[in-house]
Amino acid sequence: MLQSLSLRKAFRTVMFLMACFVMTGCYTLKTVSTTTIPSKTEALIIHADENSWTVVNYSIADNFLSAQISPDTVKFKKARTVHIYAAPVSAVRIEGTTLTVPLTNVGKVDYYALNFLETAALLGGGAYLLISMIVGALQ
Amino acid sequence: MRKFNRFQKTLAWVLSFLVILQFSGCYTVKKMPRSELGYSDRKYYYIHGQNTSYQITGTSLSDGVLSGRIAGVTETPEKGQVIHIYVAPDSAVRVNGDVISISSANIAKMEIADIDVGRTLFAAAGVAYGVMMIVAIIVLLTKEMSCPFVYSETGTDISMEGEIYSGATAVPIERDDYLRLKSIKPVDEMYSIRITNEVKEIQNTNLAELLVFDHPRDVEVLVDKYGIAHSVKDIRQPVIASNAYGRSLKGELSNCDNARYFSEIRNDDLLLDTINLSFDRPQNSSRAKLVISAKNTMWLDYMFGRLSDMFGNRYDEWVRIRNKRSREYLQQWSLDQGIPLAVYLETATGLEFVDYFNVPGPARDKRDILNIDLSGVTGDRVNLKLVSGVMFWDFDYAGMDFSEDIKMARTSVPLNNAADETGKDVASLLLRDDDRYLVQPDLNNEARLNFKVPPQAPGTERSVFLHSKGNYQPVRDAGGKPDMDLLVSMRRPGMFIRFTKDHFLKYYSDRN
Repeated sequence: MLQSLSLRKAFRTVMFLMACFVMTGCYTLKTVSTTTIPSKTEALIIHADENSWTVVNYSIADNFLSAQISPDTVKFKKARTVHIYAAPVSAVRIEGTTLTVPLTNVGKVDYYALNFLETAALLGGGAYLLISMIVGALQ
Repeated sequence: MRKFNRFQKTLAWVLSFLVILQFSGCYTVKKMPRSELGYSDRKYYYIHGQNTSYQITGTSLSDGVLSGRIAGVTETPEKGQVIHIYVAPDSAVRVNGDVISISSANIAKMEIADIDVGRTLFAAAGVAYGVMMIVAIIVLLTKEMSCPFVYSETGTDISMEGEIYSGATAVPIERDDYLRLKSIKPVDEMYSIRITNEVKEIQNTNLAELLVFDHPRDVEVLVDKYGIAHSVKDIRQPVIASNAYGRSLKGELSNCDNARYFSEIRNDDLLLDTINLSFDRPQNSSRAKLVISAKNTMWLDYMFGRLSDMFGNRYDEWVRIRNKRSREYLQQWSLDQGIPLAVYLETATGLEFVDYFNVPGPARDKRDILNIDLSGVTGDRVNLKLVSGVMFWDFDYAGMDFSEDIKMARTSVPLNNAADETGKDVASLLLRDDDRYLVQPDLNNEARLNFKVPPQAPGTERSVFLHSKGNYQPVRDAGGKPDMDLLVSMRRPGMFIRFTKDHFLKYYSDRN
């Protein structure tokens, strides 16, 4: 009846808004190794003790990771940044703008990745709901 | 009614599930500062080297060295009890028998799974809303309880106005109801409404008449549950509005908008949802009008249905017993279970129960009013508590008006004609408060009522209310033996709320 229809419309709207909210937080922390750093990575953030350095143009050779320290003014997207945690801090060597760290001193490598399944499902659902709302409004 | 195909229904369920699944993940991985190593109360440590990993317990920190014994039996601790420690190089992990030791300088990263407070708070609301929505669907699909729906004709459309005599689920608690018809417009010099049964109930309407008020344009008219009309001219927002946990509700309750409040759910013993309201009191004011805009949750209807089902094959017997109870007994049971919205006033002698709002039903917000005597209040603030069972009410607005009621023209308009869905004249059943009822026992029963439009005083604004009276009986088809122990326990105050909250928490925990 009339009541049922209006409640369904309300439900559809709420679901759409909730799906939109949920889609804003689809990143998940992923752990990788130094050999499986995603190729789209633009910058590494090297953490050691309480210090951290943002580096670019990295390379891995002879069990060492080398990279150029990037100025603080350059910002990188969250999805294109990988975090490398090294210890002890004395293992991190800096000469000029070049940073090197032995791979054996890398304790963890992680990055924030988009959760594709969740995002795709919710995007699809959100799109469907949006279309339903528009169609419903036109009817 | 628009039909939804199987794909659409399936998608709706999948989306509901996905949203709830998403909201149920309250833990987030956080980096833990090394300086907090010796101060954590977490019991389980996972040591991760590049090629090794250990679970240790009985840890101690001395001179910058963390030591612990390798756990003999692999336990599966809760997420929130674990610290993950990533160490480099591997040689920094020293193993001596079953004792592991590492220098804190070799800790590359420490992680904990911590509760994301913001997400958790939203999760509670999200899950609550998710449950509400699923319950709403279940209620709609199964045509469970509610009460008669009222629609107005606007000349171009039919508009749903709300529900009438909600909560009058037995003959002794039949009650008067005053529903504002916000959308009604004269059509051929008639006001036309429809009263429909859209749920599994036997709905008995005793009386239907219109109350018409012509009043100044800058005044709102509201009729309280006693049938007394009040003018609202200078409504004030609360200076303090908070719930039982101290959370401010000013954002939710200060305006009639999309910001709403329904209960904050925590796994604790709290059964009553209390809203604390504080209003600045004008000097010499001896009365005030408390105005709320709220509705009940579908959850309340749904859980009352579950309670009814627990009578199993003795449901009809229970209905007969309820219909023989006194009005006072049934009203008191309802109040004891937090179903109506109780209003308490802080006076010089302490907190006093002053009155309650009848349940408005879950279909539409109802703007309702109660007149409150302030003679016992000292000071320049009026402090109130609105108390109901957890998750039973859904609030949009609360305000207070201290202005005097103005005089206004009130016209009672009797029914002109009425017909049911078969065209049968049913007007005589609704004209008077007597023992004759318009009985609507089946889904889609519909009565169309027409009232002659009285002449309007020039320069005034008009507000129209439906005054109705009736009761309804939910129709249940549960079988089996009744759970008498639980049902007998429902006589105790608050037990119905306990039953519903436990039900909700179980639902929530099953998905966490």
